[in-house]
Amino acid sequence: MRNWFRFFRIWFLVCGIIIIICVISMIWNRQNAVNYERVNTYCTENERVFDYGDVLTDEEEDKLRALIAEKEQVAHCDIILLTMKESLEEYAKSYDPNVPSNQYVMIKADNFYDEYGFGWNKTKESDDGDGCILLDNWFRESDGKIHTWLSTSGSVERKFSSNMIDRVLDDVYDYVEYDPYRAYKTYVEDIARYMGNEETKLEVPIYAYFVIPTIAAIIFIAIYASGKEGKKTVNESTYVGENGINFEVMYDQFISKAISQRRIERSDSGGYGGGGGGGGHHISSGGHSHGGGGHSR
Amino acid sequence: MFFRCKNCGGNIVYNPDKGMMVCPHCGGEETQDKKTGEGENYNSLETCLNCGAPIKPGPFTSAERCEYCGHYLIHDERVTGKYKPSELLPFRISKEKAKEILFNAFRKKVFAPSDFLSAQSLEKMTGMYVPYFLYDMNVNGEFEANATKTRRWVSGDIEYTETSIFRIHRKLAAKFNRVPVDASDVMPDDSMDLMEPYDYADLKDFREPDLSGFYSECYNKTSDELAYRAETRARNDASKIIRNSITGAYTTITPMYENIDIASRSDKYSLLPVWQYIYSYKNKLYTYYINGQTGKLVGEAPRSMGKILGYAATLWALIFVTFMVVMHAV
Repeated sequence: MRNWFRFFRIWFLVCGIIIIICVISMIWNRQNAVNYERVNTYCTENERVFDYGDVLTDEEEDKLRALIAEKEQVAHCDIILLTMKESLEEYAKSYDPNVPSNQYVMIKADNFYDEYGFGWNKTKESDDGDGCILLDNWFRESDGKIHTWLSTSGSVERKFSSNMIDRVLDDVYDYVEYDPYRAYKTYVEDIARYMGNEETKLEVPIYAYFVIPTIAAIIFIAIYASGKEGKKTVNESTYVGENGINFEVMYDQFISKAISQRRIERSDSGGYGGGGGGGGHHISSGGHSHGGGGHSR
Repeated sequence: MFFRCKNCGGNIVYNPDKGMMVCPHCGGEETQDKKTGEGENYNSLETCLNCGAPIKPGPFTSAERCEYCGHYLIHDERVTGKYKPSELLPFRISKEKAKEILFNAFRKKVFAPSDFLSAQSLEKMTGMYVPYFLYDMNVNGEFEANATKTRRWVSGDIEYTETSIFRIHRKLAAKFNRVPVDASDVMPDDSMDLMEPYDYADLKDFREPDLSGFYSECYNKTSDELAYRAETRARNDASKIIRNSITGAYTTITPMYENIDIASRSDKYSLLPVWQYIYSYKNKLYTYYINGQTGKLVGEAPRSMGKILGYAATLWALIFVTFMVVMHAV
């Protein structure tokens, strides 16, 4: 028993410390649990799906509303979807006469978001509340293109780099032409996933709790079960003294040499280029900070 | 025969620490007086010369301890005549030191039974002079082989491969000195081989008193009967020496001819020192050998299934609980 305790004392100590640290951190977390309820008192609008472009069926809209309601609790931000089917040229130019055609949607999206006062934690007008809006305007502007914009705000703006915005828009564009519902669903899911407030509990299958200690115990037995002592400590020259080896003949004679050759097959490889779009930080006409990016089709 | 201390009459034995005869009772040094049996009816293999108790030595036992009086007896007829060893390598590791070596080597083997290294068990350790033949051999070896060296390089779109062919020839004359072969059937050959090497510089001419305090055997088989072991070993070693002499960075070596002859052979009958510890656990005997000169240890610790399961279960539970708590905390 004494040997047993002495053998495991380091183990007891280390495991004990780990357990104590974990227990303390669990208690700490419980006491300091942050309340992630939506605190926006400024926006009274409960609607999240504004299908002005009428590209979704009522049933699809309801499904998206339910999905957004669920994902907002995870992402802790407002997730808005706005579809349109009208020119925004005049509207955008009234705010900024020099705005390029692919940014009409940006101005509309930012203003729409600000005017409603969206934002998970927006409690007063000056707050940039956490949230995002996807504006997909199905109208072909004078440049002959359909423009889409993802505008971010607050925590979403801070979290989303231009690359991430592009990735979300790429995902949307994968489906939008033939299945708008699926495209917008992907948008909601992407936002929730990237915002990363999904329960971070590591999913460990129940059997792992038994398999891992068992493997450790088997390794432990394998290491300690070997009780062998005594290795071979003599070699071929142990019993021949220094002068005991005498080579009467010792030569390596060169006989001949031959050279063969082979043609190496080479294949040409072509390159391919890539490109990227992107939006970024800007201040909307309402004076609010937005991030964002657009795609066109 | 046995050796009696001239000063106190006790049984004087060889002391490895001091390298001489020391009386354990009075401390007298080199105070031995040889006692031999007398009379026509006396047979040193049947009765203890000191106390007269009946003894039953094994068929080759040449030295042992009387179970009744504790005197170390040496059986004259097994250390004289054809059984007289020419050399003996005296113990340099004392019994205390041997016990320490064993204890230190195995104390970390947690699965060994509790009394494996207890003082009481270790006390049963015995010093043995093991009979050996030490063979001197002259060995001639010849070896021929074809070898190739390959070199590759690329120039433009062409890869060139150059293959050079060599002929290797070796003739070796090697002198092997004192290749040891144990001549005791009860000592396992593999364990005795692992006892090597001994430092032969300490070998000295056989002297009867050196056996006092130890067990011993005379050779069980003759040197001619055992020579094959030494010869096989010399052949293998010579073959390795030849191959090691091929130092060119060859890509392939194809042996064409190899012949190794034992040109001459001679031997000496010698006694080499080994400490032996036998531990019985669950009807199985575990034997440990310690080179009495160098202290090298050979043996395998016994394992207690109860301990293995107990320790594994402890570890399992520790990891299980810690893992559970950690996974709930994160």
